[in-house]
Amino acid sequence: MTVKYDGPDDVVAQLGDGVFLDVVATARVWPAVAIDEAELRIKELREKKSGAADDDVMIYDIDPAYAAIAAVGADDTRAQLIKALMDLRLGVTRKLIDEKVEQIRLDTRRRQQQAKERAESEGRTRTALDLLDLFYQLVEYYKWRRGVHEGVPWVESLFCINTYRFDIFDTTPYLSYSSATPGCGKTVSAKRHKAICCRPRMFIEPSPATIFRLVDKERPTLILDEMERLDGYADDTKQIMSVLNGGYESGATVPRCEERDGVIEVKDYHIYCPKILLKIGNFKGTLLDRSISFALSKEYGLQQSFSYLVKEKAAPLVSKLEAYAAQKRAALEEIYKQQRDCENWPFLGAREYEIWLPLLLVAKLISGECAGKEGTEFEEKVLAFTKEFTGVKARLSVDDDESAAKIVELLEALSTNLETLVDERESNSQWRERDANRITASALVERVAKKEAWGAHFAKLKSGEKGRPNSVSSFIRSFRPNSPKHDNDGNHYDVFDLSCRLADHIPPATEGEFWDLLKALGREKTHTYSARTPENGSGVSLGEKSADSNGVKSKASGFTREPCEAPRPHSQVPPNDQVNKPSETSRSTGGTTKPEEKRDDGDTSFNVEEF
Amino acid sequence: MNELSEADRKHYEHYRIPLSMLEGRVLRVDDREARHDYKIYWHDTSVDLGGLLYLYHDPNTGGRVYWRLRPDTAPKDKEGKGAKYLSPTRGQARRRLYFPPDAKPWLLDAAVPIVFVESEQSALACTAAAWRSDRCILFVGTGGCTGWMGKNDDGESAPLSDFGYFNLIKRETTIWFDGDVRSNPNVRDARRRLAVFLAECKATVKIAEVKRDCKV
Repeated sequence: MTVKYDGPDDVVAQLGDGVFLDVVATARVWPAVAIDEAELRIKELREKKSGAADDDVMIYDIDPAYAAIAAVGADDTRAQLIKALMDLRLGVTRKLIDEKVEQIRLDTRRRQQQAKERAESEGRTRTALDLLDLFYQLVEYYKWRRGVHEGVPWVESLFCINTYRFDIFDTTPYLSYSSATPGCGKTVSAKRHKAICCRPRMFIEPSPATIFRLVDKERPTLILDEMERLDGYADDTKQIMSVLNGGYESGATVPRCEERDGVIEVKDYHIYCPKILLKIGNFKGTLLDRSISFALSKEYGLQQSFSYLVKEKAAPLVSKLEAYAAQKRAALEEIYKQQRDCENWPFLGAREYEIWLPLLLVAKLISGECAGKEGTEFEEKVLAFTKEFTGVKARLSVDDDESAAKIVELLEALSTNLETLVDERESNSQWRERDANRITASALVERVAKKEAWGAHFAKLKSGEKGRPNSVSSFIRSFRPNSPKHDNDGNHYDVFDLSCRLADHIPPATEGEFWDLLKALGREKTHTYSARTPENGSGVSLGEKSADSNGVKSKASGFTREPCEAPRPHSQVPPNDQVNKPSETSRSTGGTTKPEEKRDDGDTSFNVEEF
Repeated sequence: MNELSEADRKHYEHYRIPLSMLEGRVLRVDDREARHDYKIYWHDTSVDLGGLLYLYHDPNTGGRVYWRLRPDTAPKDKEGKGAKYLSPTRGQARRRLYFPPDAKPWLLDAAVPIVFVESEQSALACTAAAWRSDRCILFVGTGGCTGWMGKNDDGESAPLSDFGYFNLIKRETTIWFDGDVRSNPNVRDARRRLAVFLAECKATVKIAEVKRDCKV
């Protein structure tokens, strides 16, 4: 019996499901079909030519044959087909056939590539996205087979999301992982990031030029492992550190002189991108300042997280993160725009505010998209972890920063006087004139000599014990206290004034009784951002504010600012409208590396070769 | 209203497509509905455009995004060629791929093979056949041999952005166009372009075909 059919539906109707499935199962692979098609076109031309009389003037349509040959992927087979076409002697040369086929291939590839990109881009735009669900999936991903503090995967997840849209913000935090010994999971953390963050690049010992050229070209998420190798004073090390110090801020550049068409011109390389730093030993100074810091320790009994398993887990999340980048730009920009006009989170110091802001705004975007308890719980947890990690870092800063440690020791030494002054203040309005509010450098020396930072400092003094008061005075002078009174005992400092000035130079999250004593004496904690109170009509919780213009659901938000207590007396906190804008000073620090007259090797269109 | 006629039901029964699969996906429309409600244009207003309307849905959101009419009587153009299917006028809707019901979970699952067929009816009939055989295969209708292409920003023909729905990398992808692929160079050309595109997207491309006259 002969059955006539047209499409696959006819096969189903007339031949049944079995035959239909067999047809699908026995489908031929495309490369073989492509070769057959090309051979068929050549055969048609051959038949046409052989059917023509010698004196006929024939016009051959060779274009279908060119197209069919161009569709053959294998180079050697394509060459054979071209030769077969040439052997027909249709009046076309080998060169012409080659050119035609190559042109079709190039056109096809260009058009297909554009279509592919458009399809991918639109696919990302259309992918349904549940941000909170994505966030929790990221937390699970980061938690998987790692023994880290509960908050670490939360911060890592926010950081990871931020890498996909960090360009919106003026600053981006770094993540720094440190451990006392090897084998504490730093590289595991790095690989986890490498599999999922946006445009990840992981390096060990890169040159400075590699970093700034690569960052300028790709805006990657830069992962630098084995950072302990940079604990030196070599020129390269200093340059890398400058790039890292400045690269947390948008607009920071490294200028280099480059020759183009015989003209030497200065090119600015942008160095702003998210970075992940890993080292054995502690991060200190500016690098710690720009980082959210995690101290890792050994964990036993964990299963191995193989790279291929990590990649498998990351793949579906990456496509969602790409969808996030495509879909949420406008919403995030709107939230950021609103943030410029109001300030929040008083527990964050100026720098901490800069580096946490992008993550907290990402969190705000996520919580804004889910109504009810779920979003509120999420916000509260994010803020709790933020406070926790800020506190940890404050302690690390004080421990590692000799000056900060000295300040804390001095404040502890002044606490006895402050306690007395608190009692005096209740009964005497002239409490600042009392003796308890006076202290000499020598008295301070006695109180701090046995403390760690000052003890180490005094031990190094060549002048011995005699030089100690001078050394303390010299340190105190840099804080510009009120003019000390002089007498035979030496300089008498105003205890309250000195304490306030010292306290202004340490992170607000630093532990110490002196905060309460200073507050009791009337010093407002100056590390709060000035903000209008909710009562005066302009103080709105961020969640509500975003609902107005961003279409985000209105609800109570944990991201609510606290009313400000007093304006900051000194100059550490910039005015409201400059909070997110780097000052000229910090910008110049960021931009930073000295211009070089010498041209770096390699031109602007460079490629990084990884070894 | 818009319910399938008895003849329509028999037609789909012949193709073994369950009526439950057609709910909200195929409508019977008359000439007025086709022209006014669904903006199907045909220059000759005396021609009756009543027929079956295939509704295209976004596989993720489920929203209606496109439609195509199969008139009961194919109107003939100036060259006497019958127009088997008619699309809405430009500006009303953008051309899309036709997805069968419940396609969403399979879009990104590279383990599920995709088969591209030409017509909506083929996509439905094949999907029903796969369901009956407990096979996971995603059948996608291209809406004609060149329906998988649209105009890009430069006005050139280029694949539809709907391909972004799929995870095509290393995915088994079969093209099964109608039987005229051997005789019609245009269909063959369209199939070749689709195959090259899918190969460019790193899919494993296969070609399925059965001769028009098949001895069983």
